[in-house]
Amino acid sequence: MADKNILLIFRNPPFADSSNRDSLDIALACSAFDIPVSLLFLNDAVLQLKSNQQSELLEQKNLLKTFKALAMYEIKNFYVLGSDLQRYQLDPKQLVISCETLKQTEVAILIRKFTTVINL
Amino acid sequence: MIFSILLYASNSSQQSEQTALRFSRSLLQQGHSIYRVFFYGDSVINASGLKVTPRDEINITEQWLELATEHEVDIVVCIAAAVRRGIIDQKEAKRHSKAAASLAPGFTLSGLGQLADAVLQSDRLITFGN
Amino acid sequence: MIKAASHETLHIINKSPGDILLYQNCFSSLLAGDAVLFIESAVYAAIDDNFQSVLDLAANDIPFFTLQDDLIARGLNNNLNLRFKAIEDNYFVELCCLYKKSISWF
Repeated sequence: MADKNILLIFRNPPFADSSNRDSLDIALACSAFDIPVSLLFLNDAVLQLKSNQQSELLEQKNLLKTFKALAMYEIKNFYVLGSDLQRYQLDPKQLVISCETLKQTEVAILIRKFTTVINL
Repeated sequence: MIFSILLYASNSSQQSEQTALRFSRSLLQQGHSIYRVFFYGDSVINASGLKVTPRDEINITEQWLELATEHEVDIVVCIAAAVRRGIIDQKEAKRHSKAAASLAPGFTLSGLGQLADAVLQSDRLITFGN
Repeated sequence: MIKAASHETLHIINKSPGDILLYQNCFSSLLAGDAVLFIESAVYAAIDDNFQSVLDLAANDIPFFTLQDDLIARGLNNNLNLRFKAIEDNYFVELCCLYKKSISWF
């Protein structure tokens, strides 16, 4: 079996459903099996990374701690779209993890690099 | 080729689960194999042994079990997704002091490591979701 | 059935064309060598007259497939956009073998 690597695509805002948490859990599991993991945030998913979220007000679990801890699991490749940042007036510095900003046309090129893509 | 199937429905009554079954039957018929079917998210509901399906509707749980028995397919339900939705086996029922187990016999509760393992062991991972 | 070329990613989409953002995401992730398979409610894309501008986001050399059974189940058998090729379930499996990986958009 050829070497595998995996891209997880996030597309939803925080608290909307369980997809962000579920994708994050897949990332951790794959990393534990030594599968290189990268994360791509499209559309509203960039809002998941915004700092200063106070999820406890909604009695919701805060995923930010988990995102920040990903580096300990050797998960370090994060991608966001410049157009999504712009739309929500976000500066890359306001995100809890350090992300590479992509142009729309670079997404397709990124996807090519992976053997497996999960897009919940 | 060796396939694995990831089921991720946010609405278990939608068509995706049926499509996944059609796809699975078709690939087995063509001589390919399924390493694992992994139920995640709300799809775990379809591993419930306590569902009662109206007579004029198809019981998808039984269909997965038939497929699994006939072709020796490993059907695994994500334990974290399952227990939070009330899909528990005897062991979990006991551990969490619940009145009864609800997982249909034939399904196995296990961790996401089983999905990562499926990624490694299969030529293709196909996701069916909604 | 398919011209010899590199077969890279099979994009599988299952929502009706009403979900424009999903289609934009999917189509802007395409590169030459990819294909799109329209399943379940997405087969309505094949009869959607208003949808041409979104479909145009996908370059002409990207093959479009739909599932025959999903079309027939919805009473769709004529006036289908000629860009879409209807296939049977066994060919869905073949496509998954032919293309190196799949991405599901839902």
